[in-house]
Amino acid sequence: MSRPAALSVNVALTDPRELPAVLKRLRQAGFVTRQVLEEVGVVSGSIPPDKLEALRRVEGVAEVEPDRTVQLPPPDADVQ
Amino acid sequence: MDRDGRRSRRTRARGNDSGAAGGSDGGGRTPEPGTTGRYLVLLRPEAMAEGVRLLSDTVGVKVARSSDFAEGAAMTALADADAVVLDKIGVAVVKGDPRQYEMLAAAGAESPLPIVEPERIVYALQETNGHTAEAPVFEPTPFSLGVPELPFERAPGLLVPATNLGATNLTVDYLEGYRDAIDSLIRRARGAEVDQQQLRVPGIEAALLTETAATWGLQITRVLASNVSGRGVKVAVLDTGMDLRHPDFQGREIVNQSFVPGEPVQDLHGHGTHCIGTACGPRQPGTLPRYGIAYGAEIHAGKVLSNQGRGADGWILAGINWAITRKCKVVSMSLGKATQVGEPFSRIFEVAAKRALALGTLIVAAAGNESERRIGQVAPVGHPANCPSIMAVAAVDINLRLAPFSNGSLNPIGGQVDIAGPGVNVYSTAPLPTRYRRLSGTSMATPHVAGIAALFAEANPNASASGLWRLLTQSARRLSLPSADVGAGLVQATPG
Repeated sequence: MSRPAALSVNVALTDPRELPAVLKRLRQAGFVTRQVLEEVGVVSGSIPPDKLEALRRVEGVAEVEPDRTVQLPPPDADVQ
Repeated sequence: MDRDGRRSRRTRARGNDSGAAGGSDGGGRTPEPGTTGRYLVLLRPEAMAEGVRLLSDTVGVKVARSSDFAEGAAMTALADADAVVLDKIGVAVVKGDPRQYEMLAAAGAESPLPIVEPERIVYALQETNGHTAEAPVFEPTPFSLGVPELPFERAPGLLVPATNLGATNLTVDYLEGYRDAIDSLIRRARGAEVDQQQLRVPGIEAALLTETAATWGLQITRVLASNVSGRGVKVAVLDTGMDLRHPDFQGREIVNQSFVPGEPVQDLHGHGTHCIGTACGPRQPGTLPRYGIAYGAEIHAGKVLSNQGRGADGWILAGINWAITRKCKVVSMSLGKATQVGEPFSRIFEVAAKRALALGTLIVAAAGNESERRIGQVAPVGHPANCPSIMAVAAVDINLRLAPFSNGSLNPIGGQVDIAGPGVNVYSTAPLPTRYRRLSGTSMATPHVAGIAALFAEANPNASASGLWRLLTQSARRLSLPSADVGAGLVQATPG
């Protein structure tokens, strides 16, 4: 059965000190954790697209954003 | 031959220099704020004599005519006369009781004196790229060339306060005259190094900056006059990594970490090496010119962009978090993604940056290069520099002109340019075998600000991250460019 690819997202916590509890809730909401940044209180991972809205409503979650990409010009470009 | 209106001078006791009406009113009345206490009276060109007679007879003022004096000396006559008629423009500047002038003004449009106004205090304005800005006050320097002051009547379009005869107000004529004199000076100085600190007239500096000892960017940001090096300060540069074999950095500890899956820190793109060179390069590199600012700082090279120059938000956030855990006071991010007008800034990067500030880490990022101002295109500050808690850096060139690619503050919430740095034709390090390279971009301006932030951090060890931000913006050199384009101005390492 084919599934839409999971979205790569970053999640900011309302309070970084609540990380352990929020991580558990995120996992229960279908979030697959890839990295935990304690000082800035941001967790990175992936979520199936149909579970994205529910992720936003998890207690202790302040923001959910897609993982953007930045791109430099090629090395030989004059303006960098 | 005596002319109408010319009377013998009457010496009067000097009272309030602001020209407060003395006369029948009892004297000593304070002028309205912003006015001198004198009045401007418009005379009809076809009825000048009649108007002057009306002034002297009806209002009782003693009148001097500018045509009676040597050019430019008319205003000094005001000290003795009650009124000076400026013949060429048909305006009288008069002292007296305002009630007398109300009487005149009430006489209506057919009166020989149709308009009476209080003399305002105004300041010279200077057009710059379609925006007006206050003209900088010219400070005399050893190279001051004594360009003569413009007399009152030869300042079309500007009002010169009559009380302010001693000041030199800048007009286009004045600046062109000054430029011509500087051109002649440049011709004499060409080929020799000139201490650019002698000259403080913006826009005239280019030909006098040679890069034999140090890059123009280090000169113009006054890094060379600094007596600190960033010693004890940790600076993180989040970019494509670093060429750890570069000869200029041998023997210098570089704390390094890659956040790019599958790639080591070693920089195969070049961007990160160039930025680290600017921020933290050595005081005496193997080959001149010097190109680096915080030569004593502890370098933290965080690879958040791949060797193809690509990076994910998650890697950049990881780099930021790492810098915080390593107690870096400054994070330099010469990276970004174009935004649209109306697009909100990243709440997650804003949260991260606010937490970073609270934890003692100032993040500085490039405003972005999507603009092409030569054809009128200005793009908004990119992500993540558009976050309010991230200091966004614009780029200027050696003439202190805005770089044509430098983005502007177009988004009203967030998206502000905070400060500017040298960003055109910037010489710095490149991976071996190239060693050194010139690049342009807001990417190059950003590490100038980061390096100088490290200098301020050494000099102010108890400053918070927000305090460093304030130090940078308050000491920036004001440019004759809109703050929407350059924020507080050009970053400066030491006072001018």
